[in-house]
Amino acid sequence: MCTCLSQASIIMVGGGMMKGYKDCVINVDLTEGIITKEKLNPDYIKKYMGGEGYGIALLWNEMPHDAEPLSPDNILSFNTGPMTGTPTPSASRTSVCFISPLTNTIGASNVGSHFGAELKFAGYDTVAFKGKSQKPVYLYIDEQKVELRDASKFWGMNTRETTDAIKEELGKDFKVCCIGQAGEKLSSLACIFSDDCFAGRGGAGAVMGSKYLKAIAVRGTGKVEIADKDAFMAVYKDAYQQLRSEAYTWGPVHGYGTPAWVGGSNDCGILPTRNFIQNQFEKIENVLPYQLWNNTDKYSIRRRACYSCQLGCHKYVVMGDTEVGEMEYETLAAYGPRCGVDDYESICMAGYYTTIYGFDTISGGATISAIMEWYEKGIINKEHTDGLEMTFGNGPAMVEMTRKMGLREGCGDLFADGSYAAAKRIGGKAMDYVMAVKGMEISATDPRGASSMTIAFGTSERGACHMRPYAATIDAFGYVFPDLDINEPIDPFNDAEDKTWLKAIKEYFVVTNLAGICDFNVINVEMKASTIAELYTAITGIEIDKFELLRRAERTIALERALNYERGFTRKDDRLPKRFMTEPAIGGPPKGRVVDMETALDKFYEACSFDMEKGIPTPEKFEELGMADVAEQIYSLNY
Amino acid sequence: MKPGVIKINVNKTVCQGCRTCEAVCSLAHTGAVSPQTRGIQVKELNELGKFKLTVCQQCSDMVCAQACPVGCINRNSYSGAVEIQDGCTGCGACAEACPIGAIVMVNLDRETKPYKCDLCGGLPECVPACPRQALSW
Repeated sequence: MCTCLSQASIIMVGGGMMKGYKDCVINVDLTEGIITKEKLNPDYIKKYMGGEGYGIALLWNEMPHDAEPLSPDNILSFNTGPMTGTPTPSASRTSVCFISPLTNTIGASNVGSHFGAELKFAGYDTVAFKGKSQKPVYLYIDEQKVELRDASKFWGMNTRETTDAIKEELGKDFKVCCIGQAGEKLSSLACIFSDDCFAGRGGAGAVMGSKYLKAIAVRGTGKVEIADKDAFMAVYKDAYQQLRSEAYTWGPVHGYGTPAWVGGSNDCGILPTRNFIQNQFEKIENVLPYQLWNNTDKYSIRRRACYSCQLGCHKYVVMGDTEVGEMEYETLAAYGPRCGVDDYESICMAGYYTTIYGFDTISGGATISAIMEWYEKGIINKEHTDGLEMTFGNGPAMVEMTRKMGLREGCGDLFADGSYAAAKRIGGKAMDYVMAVKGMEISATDPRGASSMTIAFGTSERGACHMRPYAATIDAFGYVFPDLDINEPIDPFNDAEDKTWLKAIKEYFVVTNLAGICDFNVINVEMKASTIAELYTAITGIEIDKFELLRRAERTIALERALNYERGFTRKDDRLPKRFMTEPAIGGPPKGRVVDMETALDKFYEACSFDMEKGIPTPEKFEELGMADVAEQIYSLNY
Repeated sequence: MKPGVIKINVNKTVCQGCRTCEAVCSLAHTGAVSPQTRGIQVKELNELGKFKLTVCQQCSDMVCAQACPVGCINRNSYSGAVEIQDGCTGCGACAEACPIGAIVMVNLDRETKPYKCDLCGGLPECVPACPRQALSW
């Protein structure tokens, strides 16, 4: 048992006193039903800061590196960061780390809501699960009291029913993370749900389901201490001002939420349409967000923000009696243009099923767009689709397929694990139309229109992810960011350009996952990296500058790549599907352009000091990062 | 209860429940962030996206002060806020007396203390922190 039961939660790192953290981890062995508490590992904090970095360090140090994703060996951890629970903008995040059943790489997916802050107030930074329970359970955390409780009666319930039933049993002030039917049925697309926020990508919900863990419920009334209150009060005000000075963030995104992106994305020719056959949608007018907002006869839009969020990007749609849930850019783009669908009712209903059954809207919509292309090209037929006419633009068929996927009902079983797994089962030319990297579907940005996204999707450690980093802001949208030395606009169409700037931006995005804040502080390069460093120093009392901040992200990325490498991932897995290299973009600014994948990878690997074939940092780079032990382990492997 | 004029005014229709006001209040008054130690309370109602905000009305008749057995609730002559001053025994009579529940009794670090809005001594921190301009004064 750790001594984190005392009020003064101070850990010593590098000789300093560090606040912000609670210095307590809950370890749950689900096989044995044993719960223990221990202090944070100071080495992990020093190297990787916390959040995603902490969870990845757990995987590296405490899990067999060849663990099967759905086996009891996989470690599923919920990691808050040092800023979670403070008034830092959007300090709500919890990074969920695991080995992904979708990609077989590391899984790192983070969720907002009020869950992470509550976990901190209860006195914990991280909750880590190992093993597998014999029957459905949920973890109950009420301040110091932590118990595994029977969840048999909740098994089979959808996400919202589970949340309501647990709150009914425990009290409304508990915050809940749970899975729906998709997680129970081990769909590789299953996510973890917390009050209509999701740890969406990579199949974290299936890992929870494989462990028979239905939910976590937490209540906390303690405190998160701040090392230097006066300094923090001054810096957070500066941070708010930086967010509020960014016109796009503070204007359209604050108002419409992320759907505000869809128009600009279409204008730039980066809006995936009909499974990336097109990069602009001819019916864009019908899916612009004001069409939904202003149709007040049919829809009502509500706001509910995550903890301490300035932006409040979550906008909830209520359609008649149906509480659809959040409408955001990725859902809209995946179930709208990507499937050729232009009616909001179908998009909303598809979003509703992903919400209640608990699976990823991006991979869900992307899988359906692949189904549509397979269907139109004659690779599959009605026998594969339970008679559904899966043509592009057929909204009602899309909704029904989404429902079936969430429940693995009928043909839904074939598609519930995503387009990559389905293509392997279908065979033939099906794989040619899978728009995925490492098995994870590419989200709603066409890399032909933004060279940075070629790298983001290709080299993301968890599969094609638009947040590692979302750098289309800089090259396609033309932002500059002097804080990280990006002083001139960058050409979005030149794969041969130096990618040093992209390395810095990627680390800057990963820093948010370590700190426990949202990517929406940085997506339009609103908050300076130096400001994040000042916030960290004020909260923890540890002096840090932006370079060391980025260095902690660089170490986290290096460790993720090392683990992926051990699991067989190398440069060959950092490539986009061949469509982007062979089929030119057909509209907008990138018209006629294809991706030069190898040149882009060369430039990025060079900027990151990666081995050109292995796709991991060179031994010298590992040494420089203070990770020689990691290099020693993986450079002895040969592929 | 006779609500005062100089106080935090709330526009609950634009609140999105982020609880930044609570966090900033807690920090400004205690140097740490706790969901309990705050002078403004945000509660989510049963309807999606609807919130209730509760904050001291700085009443002219000071019902809480009348209930205080040790007379430690007084009006700050500079800010005009109704303040809990030194001498509080943590009995909870003020919290019980407040008709709108704007005083919360908090048990933290083995000490029971009441928390309420004191307008931060004159310039409330929560007002500029609110991203929705739901607060004014």
